[in-house]
Amino acid sequence: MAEITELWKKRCADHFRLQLRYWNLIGKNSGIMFVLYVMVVAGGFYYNRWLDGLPENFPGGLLITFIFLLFAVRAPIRTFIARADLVFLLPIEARLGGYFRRSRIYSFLMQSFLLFVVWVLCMPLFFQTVDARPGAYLIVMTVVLIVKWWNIDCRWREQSIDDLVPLKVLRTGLSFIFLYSILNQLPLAVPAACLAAMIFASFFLFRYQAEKGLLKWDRVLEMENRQAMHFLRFANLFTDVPRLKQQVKARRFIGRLFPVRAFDQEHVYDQLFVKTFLRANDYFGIYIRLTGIGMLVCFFIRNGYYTAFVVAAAVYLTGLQVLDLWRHPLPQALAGMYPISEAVRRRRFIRFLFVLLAGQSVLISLAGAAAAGSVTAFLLFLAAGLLVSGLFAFGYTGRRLAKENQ
Amino acid sequence: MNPVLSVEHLSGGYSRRHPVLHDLNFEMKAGELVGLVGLNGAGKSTTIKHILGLLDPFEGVIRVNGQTIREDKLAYRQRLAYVPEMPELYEQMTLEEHLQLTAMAYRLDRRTFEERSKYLLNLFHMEKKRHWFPNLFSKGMRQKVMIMCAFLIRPDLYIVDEPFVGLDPIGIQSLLDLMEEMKDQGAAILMSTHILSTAEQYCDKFIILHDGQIAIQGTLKEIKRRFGRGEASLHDIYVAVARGETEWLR
Repeated sequence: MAEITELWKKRCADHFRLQLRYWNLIGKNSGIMFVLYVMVVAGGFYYNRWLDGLPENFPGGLLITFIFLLFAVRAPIRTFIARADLVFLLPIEARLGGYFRRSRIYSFLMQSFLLFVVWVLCMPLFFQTVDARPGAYLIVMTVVLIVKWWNIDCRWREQSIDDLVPLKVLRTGLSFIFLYSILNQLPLAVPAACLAAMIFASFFLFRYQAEKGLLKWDRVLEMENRQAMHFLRFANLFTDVPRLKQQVKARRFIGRLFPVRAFDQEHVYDQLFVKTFLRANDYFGIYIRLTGIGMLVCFFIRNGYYTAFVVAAAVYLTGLQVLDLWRHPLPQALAGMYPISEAVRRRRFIRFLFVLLAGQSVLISLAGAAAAGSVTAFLLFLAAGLLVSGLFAFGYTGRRLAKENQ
Repeated sequence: MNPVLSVEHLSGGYSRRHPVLHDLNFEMKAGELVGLVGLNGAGKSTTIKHILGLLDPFEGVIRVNGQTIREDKLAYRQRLAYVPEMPELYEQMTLEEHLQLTAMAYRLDRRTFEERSKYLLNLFHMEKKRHWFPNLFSKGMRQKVMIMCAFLIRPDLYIVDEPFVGLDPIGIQSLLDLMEEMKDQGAAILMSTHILSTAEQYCDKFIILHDGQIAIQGTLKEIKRRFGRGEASLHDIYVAVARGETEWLR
């Protein structure tokens, strides 16, 4: 028993350590704190203005009900289990009650924190449209927490039940009635009856059915992985997450635009680079995002001819990101064995990089020229973009790869 | 005529202070299927890595069609195909693209490619999976992709490392048939394996490797004669070698 508790604690600690490391990176090199600060200040300002303009009969209670419902009914449970547990922990499943109870409590605390933030954000709206007494809003928090715990508990029972749709509907419905009756201050009998129904459902539906079924380990694992992925994908916006590197997206439609045209050695690496760029590691996503941002900046922030520098900077930054493609691991047994010289590979990569950057230059220059409204501006921006593309691909990258080869 | 593969006095491994292979000598002629057998850690994979040119010999020379890899790397590579023990695929490429890239890299023309790939896809029952990505493939299917890529190019020399594990019975039979066919067309095949009963049935010659040395090599008949018991199977001989019951190693 004690070992299992230890196992949970260790995994939880590991989880925190990992998260902390990523948060550290995110905080350090992304300027996210600044963005958050701006969002809080600007958001507060507009929120206030919006509140002031609300009509007399605005259904604030209903809106807050839906907001809480959204955050309370979604109740994933962090179990910290791994694929190997399906082999190693399966034999002691009967003794894992405490392990999973800890997981439920942990999930409850984490999600309650988020609910608390939502609660604070909804406070002005509540005071203005429902009830101005602080006591009334405190009751709301209590009720929200009850709903959250009930949902987490039911969600856990659902992990042993096969037919989930009616149960999920019931769970959402009861949560809604309970929250709505409190937030709109219906007569006490309504929430009381609803609470009774929730307790009844808990024991005679969820627990009763769960005891008849077996724990669906695959589903629990999937729930865990999905949550872990959420965070990693978020962190990946700011920094490289090695575990996400493996992901491949098919992108069939756009892939079809680049079929094998010439059947010869020179084009082996063209194909490899294009398809890897489109499908692996989200190189393509980064390229599109940077191009989009570049276009927006050039269009909205009108600097006249100075926009040329923005174009140049966007192309340079994109080049740095796409350069990673060169180091994308390729299987030794295939690419490593091809009778094609390293020089061909280098040459095709540099060419590919140039085409990508030149294409981006055209797009961003068009956006900038649309704002400036002149052909001269377009030509100037394009020249700047192409110059940087050429220097980056043939100059910088070319020299770097040649040096690497020695 | 030059042997397709000749290994002379090969010593090698990962570190000069602890060589894994000691003075290996063998030759393979066109149309020969040679079984490379030995315990885990006997040096089979290291031998293969040396032949592929992934490791540099400490001593000795390896020639494919009379040429070393140092003389002409691309020509050397062009002449051999490799099926690794653990399939490694491009995760971002479909099965069809794997075949296309291989064909392009080894300078097949489009017609030949279409013909051969159709034949191979059919043989391994993969024609419906042409546009699939490897993440949907089982270990056996991945293995089939590697085999198809290797047999698409029809080189002079095939290096096949433990190909049977994970393959379904039809896959195994198709591979064996394919190897027979390539042999008949004059290719040499070096195959490392632990599945001795199959090896015994199909291989023309054997190299029994133990502790980085060749314990014995030759046809099954020759090996049996040296072993002294005509009714012994390859399995019996191999176990005897591994347990040190023969006089062959020193």
